[in-house]
Amino acid sequence: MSGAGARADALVELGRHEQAADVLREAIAADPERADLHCRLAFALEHAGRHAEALAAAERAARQAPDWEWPHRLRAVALAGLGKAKRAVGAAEEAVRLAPEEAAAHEVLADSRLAAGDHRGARAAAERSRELDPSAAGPHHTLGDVALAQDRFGEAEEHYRRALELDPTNQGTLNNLGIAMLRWGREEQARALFERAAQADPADPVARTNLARTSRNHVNGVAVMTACAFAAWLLLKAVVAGALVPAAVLAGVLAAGVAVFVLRSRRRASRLSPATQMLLGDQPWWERIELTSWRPWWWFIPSPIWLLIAIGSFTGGMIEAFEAGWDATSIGVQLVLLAAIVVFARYSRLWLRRRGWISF
Amino acid sequence: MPNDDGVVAALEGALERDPGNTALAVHLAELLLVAGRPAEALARCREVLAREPGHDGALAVAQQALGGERAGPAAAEPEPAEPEQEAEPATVVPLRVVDGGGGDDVDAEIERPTVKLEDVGGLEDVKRKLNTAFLGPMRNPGLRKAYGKSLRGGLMLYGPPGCGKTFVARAVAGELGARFTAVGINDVLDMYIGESERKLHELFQTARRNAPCVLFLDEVDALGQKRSHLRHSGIRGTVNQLLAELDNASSANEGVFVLAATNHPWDVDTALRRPGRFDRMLLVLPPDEPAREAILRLNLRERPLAGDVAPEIAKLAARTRTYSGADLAHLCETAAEAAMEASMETGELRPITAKDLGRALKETKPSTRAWFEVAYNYAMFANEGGQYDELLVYIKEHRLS
Repeated sequence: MSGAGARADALVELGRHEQAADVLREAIAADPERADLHCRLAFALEHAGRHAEALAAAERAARQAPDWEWPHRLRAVALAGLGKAKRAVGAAEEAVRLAPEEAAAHEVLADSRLAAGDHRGARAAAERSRELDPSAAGPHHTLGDVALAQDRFGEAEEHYRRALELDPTNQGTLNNLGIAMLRWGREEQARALFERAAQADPADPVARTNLARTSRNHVNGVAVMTACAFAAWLLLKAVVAGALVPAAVLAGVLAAGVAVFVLRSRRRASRLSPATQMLLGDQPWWERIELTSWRPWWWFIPSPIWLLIAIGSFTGGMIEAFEAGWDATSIGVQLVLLAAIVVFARYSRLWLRRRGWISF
Repeated sequence: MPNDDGVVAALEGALERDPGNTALAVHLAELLLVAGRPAEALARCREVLAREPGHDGALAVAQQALGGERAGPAAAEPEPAEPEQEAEPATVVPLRVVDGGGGDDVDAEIERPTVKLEDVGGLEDVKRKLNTAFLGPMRNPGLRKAYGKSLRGGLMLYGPPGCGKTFVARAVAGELGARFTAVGINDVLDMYIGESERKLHELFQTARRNAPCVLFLDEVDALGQKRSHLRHSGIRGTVNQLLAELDNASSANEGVFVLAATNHPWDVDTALRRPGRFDRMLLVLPPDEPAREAILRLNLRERPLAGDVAPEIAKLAARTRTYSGADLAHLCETAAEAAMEASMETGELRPITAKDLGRALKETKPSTRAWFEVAYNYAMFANEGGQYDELLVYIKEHRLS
């Protein structure tokens, strides 16, 4: 291995990707025909998150050494990073064709296929990678991802736990296992996993964000928030109708509900770890009142408003149905409306997530 | 020295508890002499001489007190080997260490810094802590002995980039009258297996040969990266070698003071933080307002300034909270560039105006913000034993999270 290559490898390992890229650019200027230097440059740039430049370097390497597997594997990784999943699959398949016994090539192919939505192909490639290198955590992680994408949570957990046996501090695996637990309804475990993931790599925002959201959901809880929204809706109706006494009573109920909400939130928050408490303490007020699990248009309407709309439209409809003498059609329409609201609130995020439009 | 009164008081307290300790009494006399209190020094010497009439140390101090000759502090430990060179500003003496086993020679630049802590603008808290935790015990062997404090252990400076960690380390060497050599990642990172270890060993040997010497390990997160993060045996070897050298330096080699600096303390192997190694951490923060003003004045000192600049500097200092020294220098540079550009256009020298500085301020953002954002997350999730408590307090106070 050349001095520049070894030095760059060391710098990459130390997390100094930009410095490694500088060393390699200098070496490439002196010897532009060296495919291994272009590959290392692509590797360093990819780690620095500069996918387009990494792709250019990998393509230069592929031109220098078209029969070498590594440049194509690097192309696949860079293309996947750029969101070009189909082209990434093509590059990864080329890498596998050139080195069918290379576990890393199969792993990249599995990741590319998963990104392209080909779950069956991804599973096959990950299993082949696992056969070739049973000591690597990566294929288990990818198999977990495939199972998670298909909502097979038990299977995902199994794969992720195996990956963690091999690489116990992998932030990505801890986080994804947390997501599997969350979707499976095991929120307590999910929170613990997100916290472990945040500890494994405090600089990574993904696990921190997930930890903050699940902890906020836990602290806030849906029942009291729903009751408060319901009381607020009735209060609004009473005020509009000029019914001052009921309005005053409802205002009292609402105030009591808010007090219960605040006290219970504080009590629950005090049981969280100091790091999580700090994380929640840093949230702005609009995130503090949030309930991510009930936020379908999460970029647009905060969950308390959403709850208010849902409850208001339902109760309003039921009152109209009552005034119409419990007309069966009106009641049916209202029930359908409620079901639609609930389904939309709970599952539209899943639908959006599956399309890759949102990540949580 | 800023904390001499405190040291004298501590010594007096210790002597009250142990009045028969002649070594301590002589040391107190020395300190009193240095502090310009010869009558009290003489009185202490008389007390010792009354008990031990032939005590050499007491006689020497008494002689100096009577003769008015100023003694060196704390029996000059560590004593500079070539005191005549101290007057020269930061003389750089390149040393060449020839390796018998082949390979490249190790070049180590050995300086004799003349800067002192008082030359460091601001950072009062850092200076105070350095004096109490590091320099005080170094300069006062008697006191160290009295309190059973060993010289084991190094000091790790951490904080955002551009805030003067290297300058502080150099000033520590200046305070100790020691030589100074800095080691960076590029000095040792040659990844032929075994080469890095050899280079590191040679650098420590160079420091030992030049004792008293401050060996400054810059970017220690690279030299002492967490081994759990590493797969490459070469770098792991470097970390192991560093641990071995530190243990060696702290036990067998008096006079080698190892300081380290890092912007990423969370990446440093925990083994390096154990007692006897870098067991003390010191946070070096961006300059406070008076220090910022001083830095701005220093950077504008030799540039043509319009009349409206002088009153603007204090306001600028107030508006540059969390700017590092390097950021402030860059701000002045940007303002100077604007004035120079205008001068080139008109063909007449136009001095730097308050407006230039205002524009430069808008263009220059504090480089420390990104560091604080990252550091905050580590301080939250990796604050074992409260090691980042001070950092958390600063971040909260300055609303940097």
